[in-house]
Amino acid sequence: MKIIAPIFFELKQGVREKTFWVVVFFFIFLLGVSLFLGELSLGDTGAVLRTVCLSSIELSALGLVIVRYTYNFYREKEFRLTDIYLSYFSAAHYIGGKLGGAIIVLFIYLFLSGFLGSLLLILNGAFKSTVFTGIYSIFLKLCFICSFVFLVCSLINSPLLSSFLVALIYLASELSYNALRLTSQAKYVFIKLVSKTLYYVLPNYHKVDLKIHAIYGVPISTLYMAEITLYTCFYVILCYFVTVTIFERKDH
Amino acid sequence: MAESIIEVGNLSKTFGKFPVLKDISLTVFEGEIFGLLGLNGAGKTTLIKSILHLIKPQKGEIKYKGKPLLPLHIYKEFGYLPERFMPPLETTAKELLEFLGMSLGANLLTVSFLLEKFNLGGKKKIKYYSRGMVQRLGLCCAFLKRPEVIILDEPTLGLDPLGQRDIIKLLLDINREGTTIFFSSHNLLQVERICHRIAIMKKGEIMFCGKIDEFKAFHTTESFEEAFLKETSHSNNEDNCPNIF
Repeated sequence: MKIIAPIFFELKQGVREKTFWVVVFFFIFLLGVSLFLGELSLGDTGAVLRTVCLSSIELSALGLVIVRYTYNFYREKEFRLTDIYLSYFSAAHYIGGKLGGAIIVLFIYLFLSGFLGSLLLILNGAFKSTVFTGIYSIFLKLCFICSFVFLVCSLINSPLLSSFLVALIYLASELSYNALRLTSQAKYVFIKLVSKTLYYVLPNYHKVDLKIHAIYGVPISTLYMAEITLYTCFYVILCYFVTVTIFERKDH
Repeated sequence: MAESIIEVGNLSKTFGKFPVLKDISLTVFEGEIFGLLGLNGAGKTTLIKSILHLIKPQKGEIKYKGKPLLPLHIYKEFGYLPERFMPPLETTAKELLEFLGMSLGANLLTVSFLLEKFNLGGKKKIKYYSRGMVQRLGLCCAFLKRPEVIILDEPTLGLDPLGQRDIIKLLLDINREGTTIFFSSHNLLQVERICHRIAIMKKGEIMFCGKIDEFKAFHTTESFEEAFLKETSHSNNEDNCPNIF
């Protein structure tokens, strides 16, 4: 019960704050741009529209996660709200509530933007049911980022640096597979080791990201979906425990 | 003689190489209003945060009713209002209290009762509150769990005289109901008016701990302000002060 309270509160605040609605409008703007790009494209208009639509969803949701949760975390700290919460909840409940709330707000945002995006695709005859798989994979990818937001915020005292670091983690996770492939032929063992470590330590977006499948209508097996969902859950829970440990050890 | 409710023993805390608390020891008794005084940077907030387990001291112990103070005691028996408190602006007081109350199983009736007692409109969003209302809400958050002890860090800071009067009146009401109040303040008049005992901190040390009359008598003055200024500004007096611990 104790963890449910902060989740609900986080959820209530999350959808009420201006950031959420600014991101929704930003997404609508991106959708307009994607429609324009679809009109301009010479090749497969449907694929272009699906690509831009899914990328818009991912980009805006990433902005929401990084901006809203990083700044909110520091705002609560600055105005001593964290201190009050910690006189009611343990660090495990506090972080758990924030993380749970963040994931639910993310889900609501993706549901809303996914609905709008799908509507646009349907109106343009570019909709494929695999788009939902793509949106789900975006959800999983951003769940990793949610857990990293709280991990980084617990470690660092600057909101700007934290946002930058989380964005960097996202980029590194996107590129780690390509980096591993590129460095597999490298001479230096150190470079190989670094790229290998990054590939295994960072979230494996190479496996989780299903946007390409969604764009070209390639169906994904349920078993594979279950596997990547389990992988995400495991990773997020691991991150959560590390965050709680760090948070408990720090002075507030 | 009342039983001790909080006992701080030989508490030390260093930030980097800078000692903020130096071997602090003090006792707060059940049912009293205890004032913690000192100039800015004396270590009052650090001491308060150490008691609440928000800061980990390097040395020393804190006891609650004679037993080591545990986080569980804080969740159940301690209310806290920090300095410069600002609640989430997009929520209402009722929602904030219900959220905090959920952790305790407090029912909606308690929340409505408290909103009335603290003279807060539950439906208005917090962003439309005045500073005085925000502070009353903070006090309400601290009181929600009906704690044994309420710890307040400069509760009247930034309030107009009317707002200060409201807060003091509420504190006295709460204390009358049996809650021990431990608070830090720069407002000497208020402290003199409501505190049963005080502690004066200077550069991380307790310079005096006891009754206000004893403090004034020690400095051979009738004025509390004068005694306080003597205590905090005279470095030569440090060795002669009655540090009872």
